Amino acid sequence: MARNPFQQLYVGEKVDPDEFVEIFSHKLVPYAMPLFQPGHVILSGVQGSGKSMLCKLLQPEVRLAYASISEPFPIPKESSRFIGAGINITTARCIEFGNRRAEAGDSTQELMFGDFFNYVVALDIIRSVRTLSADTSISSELGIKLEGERLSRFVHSVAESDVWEGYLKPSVDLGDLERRMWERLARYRRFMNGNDRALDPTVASSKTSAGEPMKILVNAFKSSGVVPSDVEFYVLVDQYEELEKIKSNGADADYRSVVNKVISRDPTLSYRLGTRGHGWRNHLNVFGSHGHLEQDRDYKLIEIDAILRGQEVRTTSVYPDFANDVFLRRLKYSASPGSARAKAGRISDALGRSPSPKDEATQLAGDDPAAVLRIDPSWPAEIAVELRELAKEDPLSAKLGEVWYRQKGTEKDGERPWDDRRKQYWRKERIELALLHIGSIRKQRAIYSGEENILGLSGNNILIFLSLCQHIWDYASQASSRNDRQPELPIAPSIQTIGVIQTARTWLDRIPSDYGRSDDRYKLIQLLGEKFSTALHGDLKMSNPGQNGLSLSIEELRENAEVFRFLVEAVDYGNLVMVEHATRNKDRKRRYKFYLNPLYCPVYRIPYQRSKEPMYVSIDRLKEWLSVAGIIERLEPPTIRRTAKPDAPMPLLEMMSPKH
Amino acid sequence: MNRDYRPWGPLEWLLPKLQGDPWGLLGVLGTEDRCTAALDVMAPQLRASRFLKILDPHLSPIAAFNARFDEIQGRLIAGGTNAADIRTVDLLQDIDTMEEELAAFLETSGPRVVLDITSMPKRWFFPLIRFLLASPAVETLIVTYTSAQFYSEQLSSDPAALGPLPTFDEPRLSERYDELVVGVGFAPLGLKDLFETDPGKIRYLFPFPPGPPNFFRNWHFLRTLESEVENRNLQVEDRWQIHMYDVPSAFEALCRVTRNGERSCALAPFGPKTFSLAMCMFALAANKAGKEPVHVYYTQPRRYALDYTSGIREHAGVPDIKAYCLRIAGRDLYEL
Repeated sequence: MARNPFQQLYVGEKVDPDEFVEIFSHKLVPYAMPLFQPGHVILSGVQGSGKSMLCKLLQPEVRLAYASISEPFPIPKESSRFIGAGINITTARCIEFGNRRAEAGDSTQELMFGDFFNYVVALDIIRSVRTLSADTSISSELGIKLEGERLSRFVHSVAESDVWEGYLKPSVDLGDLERRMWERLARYRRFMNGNDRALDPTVASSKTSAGEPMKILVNAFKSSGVVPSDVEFYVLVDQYEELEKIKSNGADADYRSVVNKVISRDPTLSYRLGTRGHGWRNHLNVFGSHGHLEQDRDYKLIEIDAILRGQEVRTTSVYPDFANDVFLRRLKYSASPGSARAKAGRISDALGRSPSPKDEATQLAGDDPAAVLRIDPSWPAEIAVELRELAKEDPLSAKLGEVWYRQKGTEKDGERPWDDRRKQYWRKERIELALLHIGSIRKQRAIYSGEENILGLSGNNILIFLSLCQHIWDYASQASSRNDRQPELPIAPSIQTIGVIQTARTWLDRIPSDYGRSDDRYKLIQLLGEKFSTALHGDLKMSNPGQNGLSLSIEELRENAEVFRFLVEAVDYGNLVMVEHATRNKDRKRRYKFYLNPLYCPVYRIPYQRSKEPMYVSIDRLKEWLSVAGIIERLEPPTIRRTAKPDAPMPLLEMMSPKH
Repeated sequence: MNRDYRPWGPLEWLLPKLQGDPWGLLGVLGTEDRCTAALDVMAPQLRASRFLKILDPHLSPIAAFNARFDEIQGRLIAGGTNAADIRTVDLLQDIDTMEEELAAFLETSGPRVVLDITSMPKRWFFPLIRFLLASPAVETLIVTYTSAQFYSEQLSSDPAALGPLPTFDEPRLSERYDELVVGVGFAPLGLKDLFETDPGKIRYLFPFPPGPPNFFRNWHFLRTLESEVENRNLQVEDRWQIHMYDVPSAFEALCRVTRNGERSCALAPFGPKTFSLAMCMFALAANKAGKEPVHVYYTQPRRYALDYTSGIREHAGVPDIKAYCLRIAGRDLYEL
């Protein structure tokens, strides 16, 4: 099969720097500028939001790759004077702190972790400076001079600093310094791995305070003249949320508070905490103090999901533009010159435009369009004739007419009142559901093809978008009659629909193997998908076309923290979408709407588009559903309220009857 | 005995060939029917038995789990295990406690030890085998594994982030591996993260014959991985098909792939327990031979299904328990 330009999904983490330069989209950079400016930043986003891709710009190797092909670094010049370094909580093995028994009460685990964290980051800062200094264009651009006297002064200044408790004193050159640091980390690893029964005493007696060594290091770089004083140091702490999951045996070690401690108001260097979704909000304690981190005072918050979603609401179209750029870069990366791929200017050049609802209805209705109607036998004959005639030329309008008569009765009120301009919102809210009903009657699946549908199904998530493209491209390659097996562009709607359904099933089926309460989240999606599907397919009047979403009171959610946490986890993992919305209830209480990830909707045969009003449910009802699905512990049956009635004046005796 | 001969086979076949003092059995009190099978078969030949009741961090539904634990505990006590020898521990327990539990067991087990890994999570049995083989008190060590009749559709969930199993992460200079060997199983929980290690070559150990429906689940496992990571020139010869019970052959395959441990490697035991046992033995053998440390990566599930398996598979009316000799009379059988 021909090479699929969308084969590799995880650009941010896996692609090598040279390829990254070719396929990285700059479109999100302007919305994430605090990442490349001094000050601490928390960068949150679900998997696939583009978070890792942005963070990759902090890596020195990526900067080298841009320089090596003389491609401009995609950060504005005034913000590009920085050196990036970092730690990935998972790959640095921080989780292994749970392997050894903690002594209760004396914060030993946090102190060890803080020291380990310091050395990992310090070593990476040195590595970054060394890497960037090896390239003449970058080192001259940033003014890095890692050589001669300056280097000696730097090493001496670092080794002699009290912050290391004498541990680095024997170091005479940079190699020594790095070796000592690496050896210290190896000693921690030996301890955590059980090779050493106790932590090496030289390490145990020289623990450093979280964050302090990095300040010394950066100051030494600058005071020795290795790095100019106007160059910023940015340290990425990736997968911060994993710290919460470190098992602490015998003590309540709080590892996140250690990282929070480094986010101080000291401007020497700036940290970027990369984290999934909302998880970080639960915990903003600072180790060794009673203080808490405060947004805008201690850090800036960049929520990638919100940026994409918010801009969508303001119709400035960040996401479509971003996805289009990603798509074209991938398409052109391995295209031969002059080919259709190389010439493509928009997603639609490869995938076409999505069919209009009217066209889609006509296709779904096939050669017997009147069959899409469910005429009530009690309706006047002329209405039946009118709708059947209309169905021949416009099955969608005919279906909406049927719904209109079901809702409003068959009293004639003008010519096709549902097509009236004044009823455009009534019509708009029911179009997707009408298509769904037409497809269901004709035993056809909805058509998922074209730029608009593929973008809509990807739900502002670039990873899902690429996954959709990957599957569609694979099917199109298989169906291609070309010798090189490259897809014929634009790809046929029927092939795209198959690709979409396959992608949806793949993403749905993979939920249980994801991290977190994955099995419960899978059950939740099944539960909601089936409930929504039943509600929408059974609603012949289409009175509630928005019931592909759930609305819950924020107040009730807060009172039921466990359920709320679970729903938020599903949001953080991209299984659900959560949006605050205005209520239709008289109480005016704030509510959250929850929708399935749009990609799952084709599997449940429900519209992925959202319209008013979602399904309003109480928290008790939701808990009952979750309990039946086995997600939360089975609830006790509700207490039976004993009320005296004329026919049962003694309710206590009534309760003794066998039916209770 | 030939140096490369590593006896294994049905427990009822192997035991008579290892005549001697009674055995000490260390197993797991779980929710599966099969976790009592080794005790049932070996009871007359035991001098001590000890069972670990290993609790997931978030047992749910808790009432159903507790009822099942009580039922299995009743069976173990009826089989001759003292209530005091049933120990409650955590799935994510620290290795200090693991060692202490093992030391307490060895005080009564005698020098001939059977470790039943049937219901034992990898997070536990990998370090326990390391500790057992490091103990001079253990003269003979057998590992047993009992097959089930039926497997649940969803075996486990809530995986921890990908990381090395406890004690299988000795520091090494390079972060890159020449080889990554993946045991092909049912659920690649978080396995795609393993490709972050950017190994030179990825190989798959395929259980053969898998038998339906496992066949489909194994291929689904591979397809899921392949759809998420770029195909790194996967060749037919990179898929090693080995009988799922043949631990010595899986061990030898690892020796061949790594040229007896000369090529650095990481292992991902996502396949059958027996393959995981082979991986454990290979990592320990490399360690003993002074080769590059072999890291064993896993995404430890933090929640196992209540009905993970049901029933005990039988052959001719006898429970299908495979036994593997790891050490006989002080001689280690899995070495490079």
